[in-house]
Amino acid sequence: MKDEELNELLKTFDGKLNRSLEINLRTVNEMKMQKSVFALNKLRAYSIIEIIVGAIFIIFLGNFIYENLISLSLTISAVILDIFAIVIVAGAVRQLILISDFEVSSSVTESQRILATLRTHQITYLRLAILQFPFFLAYILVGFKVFFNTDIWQTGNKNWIISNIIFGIILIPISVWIVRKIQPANINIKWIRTLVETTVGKEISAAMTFLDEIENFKN
Amino acid sequence: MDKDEKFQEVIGQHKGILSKVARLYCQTDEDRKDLVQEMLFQIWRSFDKYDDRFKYSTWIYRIALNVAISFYRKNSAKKAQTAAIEEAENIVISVELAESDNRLSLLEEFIIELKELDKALIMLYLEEKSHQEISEILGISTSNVATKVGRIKEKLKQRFAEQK
Repeated sequence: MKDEELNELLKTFDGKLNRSLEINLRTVNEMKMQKSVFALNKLRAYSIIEIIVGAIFIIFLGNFIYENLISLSLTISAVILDIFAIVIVAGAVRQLILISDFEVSSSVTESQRILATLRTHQITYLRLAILQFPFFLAYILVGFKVFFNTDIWQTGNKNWIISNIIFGIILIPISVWIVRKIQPANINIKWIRTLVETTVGKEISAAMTFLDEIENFKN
Repeated sequence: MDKDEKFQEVIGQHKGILSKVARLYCQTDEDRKDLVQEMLFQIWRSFDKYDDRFKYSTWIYRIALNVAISFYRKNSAKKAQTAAIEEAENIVISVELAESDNRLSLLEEFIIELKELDKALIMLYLEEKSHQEISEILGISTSNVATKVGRIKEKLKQRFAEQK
């Protein structure tokens, strides 16, 4: 097909699109009742809940650290868990800022990027969950102390503790590698797509694909 | 002039933009009507924050396209459910069009198949908007506009070639 032929067809198509629709201007009150596609209130509510629950967890762990300062193993374990909780709260605060900054009259790529970023927020949980794998011993130590008032660092089998620490250290580079792979640009890699879809859902995977499309479109 | 009057005046002057975007992003009249109402709602909500650095048409295009793309993506699940009905409707339409202009129906099909952002770009190109205005609406560089239009046109030509 020649350029001129395509241009001619495009013009005809444009004429077809130009047939105007009947547009009824509703009253302001009717419009206020309308459900919007930009229903960000739910996302805002989730973020606020995340901040509240995260803050309670941070305070609880802070108190745990204070009460167990004499035990280095418990203190380090609780600090590790506290750092993850702080990252989650920081993510929720960022989410709230993005929601309040969202402007439907921004450029198309910018508005769509913000919306897709908001929708992929659950990826943060997946990334953090994977990053926490190497530190599973910290959960065990804090959990035993909280629920059974037992410091298993002191009372547990030393060989078992050491083998778990070594296993955790081996897991660090693997976790970091996986987390770095979970990016919109890699969403078409089969195992990443499967991981995302089975853990946080197909909607998130679709939003990541769209984020990748936006980046490609801008470049 | 109060806000209501100004809003009605602006919409009256630019309602063609809303129609066009709705026709491009929705395949059924019901969806088009819903989409136009959503566009009007968002324009109304943002009306006090109108940025006069841009022309009204640029500002309305931004809102209309943002709403259309979000509406399109949100309705993709519903779209899958009604795919069978639409397919049946398309057969009827394509038989009708085959008699008048088969190539136009193919072009329409190829444009509908384009990704949301490519679709927006080709629509603005058809509107003969300047590269500057397209870049302001879409948020990409002016040089990128020309490159992308060229690529989309090539893609359309390729799709026609595949049909032969």
